[in-house]
Amino acid sequence: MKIVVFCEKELSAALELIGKGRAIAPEATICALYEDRESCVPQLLASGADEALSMDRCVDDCAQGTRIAAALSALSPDIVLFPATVRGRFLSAWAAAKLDTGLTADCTELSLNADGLLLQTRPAFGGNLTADILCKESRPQIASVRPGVFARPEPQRCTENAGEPHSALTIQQVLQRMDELAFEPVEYGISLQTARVVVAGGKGIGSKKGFDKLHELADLLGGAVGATRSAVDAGWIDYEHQIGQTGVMIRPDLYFAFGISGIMQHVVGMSSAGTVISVNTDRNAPIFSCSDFGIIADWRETIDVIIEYIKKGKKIA
Amino acid sequence: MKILVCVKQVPDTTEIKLSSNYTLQRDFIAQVMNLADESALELGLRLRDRHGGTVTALSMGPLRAEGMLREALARGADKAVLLSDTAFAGADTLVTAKCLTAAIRQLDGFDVVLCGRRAVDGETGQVGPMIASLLDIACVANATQADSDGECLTVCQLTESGKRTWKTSLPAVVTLCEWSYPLRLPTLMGLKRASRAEIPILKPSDIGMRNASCGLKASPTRVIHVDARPVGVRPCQKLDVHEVLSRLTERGLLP
Repeated sequence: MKIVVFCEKELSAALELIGKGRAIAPEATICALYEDRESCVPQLLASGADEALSMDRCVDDCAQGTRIAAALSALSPDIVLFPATVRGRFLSAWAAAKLDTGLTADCTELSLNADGLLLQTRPAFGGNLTADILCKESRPQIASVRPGVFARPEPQRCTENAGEPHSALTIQQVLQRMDELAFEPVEYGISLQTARVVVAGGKGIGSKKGFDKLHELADLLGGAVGATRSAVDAGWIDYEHQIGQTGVMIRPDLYFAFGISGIMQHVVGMSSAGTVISVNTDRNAPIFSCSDFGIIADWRETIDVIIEYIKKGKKIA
Repeated sequence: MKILVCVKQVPDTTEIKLSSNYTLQRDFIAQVMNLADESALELGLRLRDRHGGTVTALSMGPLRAEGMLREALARGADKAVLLSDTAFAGADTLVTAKCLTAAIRQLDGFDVVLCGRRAVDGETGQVGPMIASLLDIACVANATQADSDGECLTVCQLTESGKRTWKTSLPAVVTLCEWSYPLRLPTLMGLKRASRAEIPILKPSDIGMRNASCGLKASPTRVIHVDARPVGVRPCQKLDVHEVLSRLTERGLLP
């Protein structure tokens, strides 16, 4: 069995996928397909890839998608895994259409079934249901997975003894129709993805101003602010802060949910948190069943008490 | 400028609730136009208003989706086309993209094809880029803004690390984020026109496809099991805020 993992510049998702591929198919050959940067090769191999293959990158993602499809045709793997980032999802969809094969986006679990087929599990219906999906006949079987869904593998192999398990693929250039005019990076402060403490708010926060309070608590704890889709859709906070199936998947040690009802689309993004504390006036809010501690109270009064408590604690310390 | 907007009728997810046994309460779920598709439609209308031309709304779905297409007409679309036939049912994203692509070819092509970046029910975000791949034309996904000088499109794309601006040749496919272009309200004139409008309902043979190439049977991916597995359920202690804070301090989670 051959598994290809497509690696983006931001490597963490690819490393998670290599680890997962190794875990579900210990005997498989895992090829890490990356664009340019030789410097990532040791990490790819240490995480469990058998070989690292490079291809040059062209600016036009459509052209690159066609070239990735050509590379996959040449490699003819059984399984291809993509990080479900904006670019990874795009390239996987583009390549799947070119290869006339199936693609399952945003998988939350992968395994091999009794027939050796890739069993792809993903949330459906806003995360209210979980669907198991197979791609029985077309090849390769392609899946994408969000960064943070699988744990990062412990670096294992000593790469110095591994010989020369990396090579460059020569893929024909194709017509480019798009050009990049500008790029404006976003400064996120402490990344939601890696924050040890996340303070999140939902519909109950009620306004843009309400989120200032959440920022105050997050700053005190050296954490990041998160939000539900309804808070983002309401325009109270930017999309970068969205946690859940269509946002970021997080695994902080401590997670505060203020005014969050707890629909599954959100819960799938925070269910790996260490300790979950939720505050809601509705005692029947589903978020409580996904929390370690529930506080049935107004979020404003509660957050003020918490902020006061931490300020006091800091003074004593 | 010939503009095509792909729209999908979806259940209003704000109304979806779980029962206490974690099953989906399916009763009385309203059907609405997918939110991101509203942005696509509004962008299409703005491009037409600026550059002239037509906006065609295209959908694949059950017959009741005709209501959503009339709404698109009432809000300013010039034409609407519905792909509806039992043979289309159960298509995965690849086959959906193939059917929409066949319809786009049948309708004589377009300068710009606009889609929502994802639908709230499936949330795969694959159909737009797959249409572009099948047509082999340029595509920008996850766009928040787009403008044209008549020959090229300038598109602003939202990514994890920042905002990227692309310049693409035409024809092109753009998929729009939810909040980028709030859809205009229907006008009285629009409502009148929409109620009289003829909406062609096409079956596979009308778009040059065989029934066997459509729907569930032709789809490479297959859902084999659906489960209402509870995600992230934990035993919850409901306590007073002061009590919770001292527990967190005991556990070393708070100072």
